[in-house]
Amino acid sequence: MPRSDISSHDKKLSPITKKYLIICVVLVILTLIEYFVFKIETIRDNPVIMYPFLGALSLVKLVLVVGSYMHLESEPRLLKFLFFGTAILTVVIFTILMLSSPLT
Amino acid sequence: MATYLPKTGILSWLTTVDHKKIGILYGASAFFFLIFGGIEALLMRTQLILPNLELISAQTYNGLVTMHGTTMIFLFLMPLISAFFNFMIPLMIGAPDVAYPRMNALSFWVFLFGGLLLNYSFIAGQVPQVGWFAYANLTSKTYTPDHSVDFWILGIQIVGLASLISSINFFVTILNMRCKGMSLLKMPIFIWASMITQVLLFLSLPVITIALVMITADRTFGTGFFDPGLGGSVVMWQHLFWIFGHPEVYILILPAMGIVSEIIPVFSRKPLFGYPVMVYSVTAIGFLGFAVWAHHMFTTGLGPWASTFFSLATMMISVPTGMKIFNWISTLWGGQIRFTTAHLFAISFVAMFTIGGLSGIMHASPPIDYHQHDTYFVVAHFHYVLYGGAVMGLFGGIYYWFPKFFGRLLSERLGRWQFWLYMIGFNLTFFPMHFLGLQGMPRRNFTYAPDQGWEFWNIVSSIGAYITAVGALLFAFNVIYSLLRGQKSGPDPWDGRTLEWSLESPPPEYNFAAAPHVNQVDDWWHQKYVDGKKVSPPYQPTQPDSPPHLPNPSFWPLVLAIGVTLLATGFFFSTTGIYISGFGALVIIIAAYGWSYETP
Amino acid sequence: MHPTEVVHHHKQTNTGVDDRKLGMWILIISECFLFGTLITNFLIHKKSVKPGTPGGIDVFDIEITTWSTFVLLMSSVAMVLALQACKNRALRPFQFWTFLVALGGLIFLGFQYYEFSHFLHNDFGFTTNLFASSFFLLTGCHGLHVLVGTLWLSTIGITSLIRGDRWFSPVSVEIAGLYWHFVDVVWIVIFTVVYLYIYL
Repeated sequence: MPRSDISSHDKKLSPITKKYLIICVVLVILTLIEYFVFKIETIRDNPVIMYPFLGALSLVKLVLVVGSYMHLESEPRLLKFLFFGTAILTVVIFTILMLSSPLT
Repeated sequence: MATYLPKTGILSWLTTVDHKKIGILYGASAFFFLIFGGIEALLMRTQLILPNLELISAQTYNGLVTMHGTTMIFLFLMPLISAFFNFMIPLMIGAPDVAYPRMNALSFWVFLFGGLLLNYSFIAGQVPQVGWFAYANLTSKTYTPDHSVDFWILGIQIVGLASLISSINFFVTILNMRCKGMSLLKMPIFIWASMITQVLLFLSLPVITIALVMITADRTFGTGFFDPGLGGSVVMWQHLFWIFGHPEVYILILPAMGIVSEIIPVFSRKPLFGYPVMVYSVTAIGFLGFAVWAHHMFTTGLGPWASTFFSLATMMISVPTGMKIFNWISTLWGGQIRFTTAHLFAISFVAMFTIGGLSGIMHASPPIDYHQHDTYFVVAHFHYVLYGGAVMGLFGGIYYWFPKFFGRLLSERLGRWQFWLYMIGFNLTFFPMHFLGLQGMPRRNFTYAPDQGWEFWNIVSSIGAYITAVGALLFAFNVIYSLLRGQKSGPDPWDGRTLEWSLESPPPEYNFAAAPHVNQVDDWWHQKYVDGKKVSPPYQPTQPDSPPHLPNPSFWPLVLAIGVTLLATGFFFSTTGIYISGFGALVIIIAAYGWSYETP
Repeated sequence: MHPTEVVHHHKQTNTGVDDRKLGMWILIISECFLFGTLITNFLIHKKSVKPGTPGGIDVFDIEITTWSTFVLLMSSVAMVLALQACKNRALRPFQFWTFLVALGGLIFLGFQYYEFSHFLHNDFGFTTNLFASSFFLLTGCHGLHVLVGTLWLSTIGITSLIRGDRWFSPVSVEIAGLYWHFVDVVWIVIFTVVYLYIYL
């Protein structure tokens, strides 16, 4: 039975759908910013700008998709801890690897 | 009544999704492969009993070294541990089964086929000769042109997949299926240890998966990941292998620590000393275990910063480990101790593991490790922790839980004999290796010169191995005899502390007739001893209140496992391989669909 | 009754999260280490371009890659809308969005195929140099995940077409969604680390 908040003859979108679409727009804008920044030849080989700025943008995209599209924001704390804990552990372990590795 | 013994014969075992039956399958397989690992050890020890012997060629010896290590770790310890996870986790948390029964069966069949594939190398006459850690670039096509290394690579890849699947299964089971009242801090320590082990498994296995793909790519397609000539690095293999390999050894020891934490309180009639500390330490060991891997690589020229970091991190692990050792001793202290065989094995774990830990601390120091690396000192260390530690602990678990699995007790008399033969044999074999190592005897060498002064301890060491072998035969006899004529155990032969002892032995197929409800750690004990007085134990009713919903048996896990094996087999054939692998992939896809659409 | 509706009668779990959903999250967490290894290996070999052979700077085409990224992002949006529709038992929208996700996956794979053909044409292949090997291992593994996901979503779509109104399984769709979003998240990281940082 279709619910009344997403009934096909009701032109209004539910608040959840609106949120998803807003995030969609944000993701597209962020990607476009990344693209246009890349196209600027004077910036794209400048690590001081590129690393933090683009890194931050992709981190925002990641958090948006994981938090909202994957619903992690509404899941129990344990799951949030497991995911973000592992993400941090991944970065830590692989940073140690990069620092210890013979080629870097 | 043994409700899970085969009612309809072989087919019921091939299609079972019952965690208890799968546990038995794992246990039986582990001991099957132990025969291989044991014979490999005896052959090596015989070859080494005197200097300059040529009973076995160098190549054959290298094959034995490789297969002994690989078999003992991946095909004996891991499945035996899995047997305990399978049988005991649901029973100890009051659950009817694991979270994904069919995935559970899949893990077993995939493991079995992987183990058989690895050992098929003997039949093919192409036994891998690269050590259990297969360092590059000995594994390159240049230095190992035949398929021997491929047996190792694909064998490990397959059994790794089995462990990955089952780790997710058990992790979800422990997190989601505990009975009412069992919060995380009221779980038995074995369950805590098991839970942390699953985390180590599902985080470390992906790394070795990629490393194995890389070496496969190097050998099959000519990439240069581990080929210095092409810009790659042999040390990279070591990094990737040990990022998996170190957590792997904690995977091997933590369950045994958990088992010992269950056995000692029961046979001391005292609660485990320092439950919260045991929880924190098992978590700390698991977590820190990820940050120490390069202590296996001190001699590769890591540089002072890396060496210092890994050295410090390794030494830090001794702190939570030490806390556990003190807590086990404190549990024994002042207890009413019963020296059952299970308890003897558990206590020996504490002592032997401590010795192994001490030698480990020694080579946590890089300058000392430069002297000890690649010598028998290291062989002594890891056998004390894996054999004196894990194996003894697991045997304790076998003597402790055998009655729960099979409804009969193992003979204590035979058990005592086995225990002492094992203790004497084990210590005779491996303690002298500390001396041999410090005197410079290198490991993984098929023979040694007569003028080094190593003869005496090598003879002692080999004699120890033969003594152990006798103990092993006694154990086999004990098992067969006890299965047929052992004393019936009843539900709670040891006056245990945890939930599984409230069930019949062996438990009914559905496990708990009435869903258990716990209020504290060791709840079963407190239900039997109320206000210090023994009351009539509230065993589980023999009939369930409502008909239990049991998952249906299924053959798709077996079929999918066959598909995985076919996929791997393709790598052995250069022209027709792609078709074999392709067919394997097709079988996997068909099995996946069949699985999804059947009624579970 | 459809199998997936029989299995988990919304049984009580200690964490409050459905068994299968929790399992998918754990798989995702495990795959963080899988892709972590691949990405780290790529970073280690970023400069491993043998002189005389092409590197990423020579062959990468940021326009194509950005379109790929955009397609995958849009398929992620379609995925949440598909889940929404499933929860609301709106059959046609559910089917529409589900097939759109699968289509997005297919288009992404098409872009990958086009991109890789272009690379091979320019002598940038799996064994050209270690930068290339690491690149193809990483993006190949990711592409394999996209393929599996596309197959999965297509299956859900086709099942829904066959069974229609009788088949609404929000948990199944949510699990597929989690997998799909994760594949998208990995691509977000790859897009930045591999392509956007290529000049660094």
